[in-house]
Amino acid sequence: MRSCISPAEVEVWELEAYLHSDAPTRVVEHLERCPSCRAKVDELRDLHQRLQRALARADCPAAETLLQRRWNQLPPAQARSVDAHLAFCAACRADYASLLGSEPEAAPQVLAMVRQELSLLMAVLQPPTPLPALRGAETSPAIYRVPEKDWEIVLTHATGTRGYVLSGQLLGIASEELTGAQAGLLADDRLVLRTEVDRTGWFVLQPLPAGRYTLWLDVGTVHIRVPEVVVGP
Amino acid sequence: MTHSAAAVLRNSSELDALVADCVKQMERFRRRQANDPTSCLQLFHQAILQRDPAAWEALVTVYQPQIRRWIQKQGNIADAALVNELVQETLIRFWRSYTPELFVRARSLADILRYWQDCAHSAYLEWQRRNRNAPVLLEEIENGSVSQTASDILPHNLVQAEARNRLWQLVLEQCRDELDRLLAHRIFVEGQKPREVFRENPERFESIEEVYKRLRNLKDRLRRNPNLLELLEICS
Repeated sequence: MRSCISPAEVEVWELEAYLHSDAPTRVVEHLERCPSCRAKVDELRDLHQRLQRALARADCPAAETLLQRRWNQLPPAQARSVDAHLAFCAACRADYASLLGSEPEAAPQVLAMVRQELSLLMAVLQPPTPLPALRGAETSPAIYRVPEKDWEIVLTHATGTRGYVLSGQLLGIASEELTGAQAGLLADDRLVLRTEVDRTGWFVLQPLPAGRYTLWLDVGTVHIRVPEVVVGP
Repeated sequence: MTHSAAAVLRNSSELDALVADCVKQMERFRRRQANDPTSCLQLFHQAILQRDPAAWEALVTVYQPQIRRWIQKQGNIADAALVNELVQETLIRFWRSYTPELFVRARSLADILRYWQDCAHSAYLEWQRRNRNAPVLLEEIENGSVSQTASDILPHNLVQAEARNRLWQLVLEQCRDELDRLLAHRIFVEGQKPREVFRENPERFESIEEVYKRLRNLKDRLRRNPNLLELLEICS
């Protein structure tokens, strides 16, 4: 194979950037003149495409498993494993969120719940726990404890197409107790977004601008506030 | 769910009458007119709790057009053969996963249909995942539809599946740290671009240059692995 016409013009990693149409003009011009570097890029492209084809969603739970997680049908160990994957894999979170959002043509009638003796609880951020390999995601999940209840709230945020996406799950609560549960975000004491909590405890709030919010969760007669939820970089 | 009309069907004419009424009620439901879901619920009761094949066939007859609409609405799919395959996949998923426990927990017919719609959505998601890297012809892009049939993209035999697992393990072995693993997952498994990975993880990578350097180094290590080509061959 011929060698590069001017090795000083291009750094090795910049060929990778070129492959993704992300290289500066200097590199593009070099590639136009240098057959050796073009051949290297072709080789890199071939390997990249083959790896992507072979590994597309290689370790992701099947969509049917996400469906079963969404309807609380999985055994606890498998549900935990799926949750751990969801915390890590943005693509599966998007799939899961799309399952949560697939409304039937006519939504089931939900009886208005009369809430008496409303109790207000403040959730408390727990110390971070080390996460095993392949967990952690682009934002490590923040875990909150709900005093007086044996509940936890796990929150993660990610970048969506139109802003940030805040997703969360209420853990340690029976699915029957989640009937009619709602989640919402306040900014400067004004309601920004509101959504239903599904029967597995999941909720997704989007799209959101970066900022500090107060998350509220309304579960039966229990009203939970999570202050200082930071969404964004 | 408890249903007053949950008696076991005695003969096929009784079933026919239920199907006729269920079709009528569903039509009224679609037209947003007052409707009585009792006959439809009895069909579900018979099919799900009694595992009655005749009742199941009747449900398929009644709801197949609705499933077809859900599928078509999902992804602007024009190809009839592909829609048919996804409808069949939806039916299989519902039959396999909708348990008597779920039926008992359901609060209404809409709850049951919501599960069925989720089955359609999950069948579509699975197709979309496998289709991610399949080539799409230019004319199909231009007229805004995709015409591949599911059979073009669905089969993955066991050898390929095993090779895919081994390949992913091999990639993980070549990752030097958690950031490499994150990068490999985002790029190869989820199909993101390096720039996207950096944009979503600005606190983890110092610069886009670091992302490209890590990716380049990982590929170099992979290329030197004697098992890589063999696994890629099996997977392709």
